[in-house]
Amino acid sequence: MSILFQHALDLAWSDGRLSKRGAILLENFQEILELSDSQRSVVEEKHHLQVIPHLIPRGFGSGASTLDQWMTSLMDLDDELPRYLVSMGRQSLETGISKQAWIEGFAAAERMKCEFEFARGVWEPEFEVEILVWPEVLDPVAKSLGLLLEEE
Amino acid sequence: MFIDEPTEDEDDIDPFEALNVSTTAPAARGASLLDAFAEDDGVEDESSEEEGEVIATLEMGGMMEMNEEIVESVIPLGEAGVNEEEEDVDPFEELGATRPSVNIVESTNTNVDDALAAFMDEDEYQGPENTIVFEGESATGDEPVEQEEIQVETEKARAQPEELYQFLLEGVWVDDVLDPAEVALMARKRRDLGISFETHLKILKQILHD
Repeated sequence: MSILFQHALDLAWSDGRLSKRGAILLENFQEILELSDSQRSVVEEKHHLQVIPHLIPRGFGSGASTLDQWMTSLMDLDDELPRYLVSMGRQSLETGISKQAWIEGFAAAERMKCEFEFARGVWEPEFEVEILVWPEVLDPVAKSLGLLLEEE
Repeated sequence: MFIDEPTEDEDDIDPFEALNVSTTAPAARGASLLDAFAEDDGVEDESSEEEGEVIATLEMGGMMEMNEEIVESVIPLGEAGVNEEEEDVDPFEELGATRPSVNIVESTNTNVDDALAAFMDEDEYQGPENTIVFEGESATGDEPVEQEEIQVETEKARAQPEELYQFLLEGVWVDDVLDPAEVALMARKRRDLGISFETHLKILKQILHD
């Protein structure tokens, strides 16, 4: 289950409707994350069943702009991304990382091709890690690792 | 009147006569019968007389006084199967079974001879193969065997290090939460077992996806 694609769906449907632009952005993001159609369908089906029924339409798919901005920010991290993920891995270990949090965090890091760095932050105590404040764009990952409460 | 007291009528009845039984002694009756038999044939048989005498002797309880000739004439010892060699009867032959091929006495002697021979040969022995090595000593000298024991343990650990590591890794997730102490333990185990970090990730994936 990709927490990143799930977050992308949340943003695209944020005003209760999905615009054409939002749908195209989701297609692009699927390619970036290298998600298969079946993997995407699992995430999307869950979103349709658990989230969409509770949404109140407030606009005409303005969430596409928010999604575009978030995707751009994520891509911009580039070389900084491994450092943040190592740091987040170490912080999650210190707070106590659950099995499910590990699975989701590692899967997200894998999609961003930083799984080795994230794993080192968790499983290599001798590896010195600089504790960083992660950028807001990585909040979905922080939430899945238990570093950020859902309300925040 | 008492029950056992005989009546007059009972005294008059002769039980032998009533039962038509002869009152003559058996020996006398036998002798008279033999005499009658001899008179009929007209030939006197000495053996019959002897037999009569034997019977009479037996009746007189003179068994202990009988000589061997008389006893032999009545029941030949050979026919009765009573002889001095009775103790030598082979039970295997009697039962129709085959006799064991190993002679116990001989084998015992052989064993004794071998043990003695081995004992005598001990002086000639010079090789190290029969040296008794006690724990904490080495066969060659004073070098401790601890190093060898460590090597053996290492070889055992290398036999299936990944399986052992997997077992430990599964134990880490038992409480569903990973903490720094468990991670430090697993890092130490990776070093001990010679498992790379990549292998660790591979095993971890296997565990979590199973």
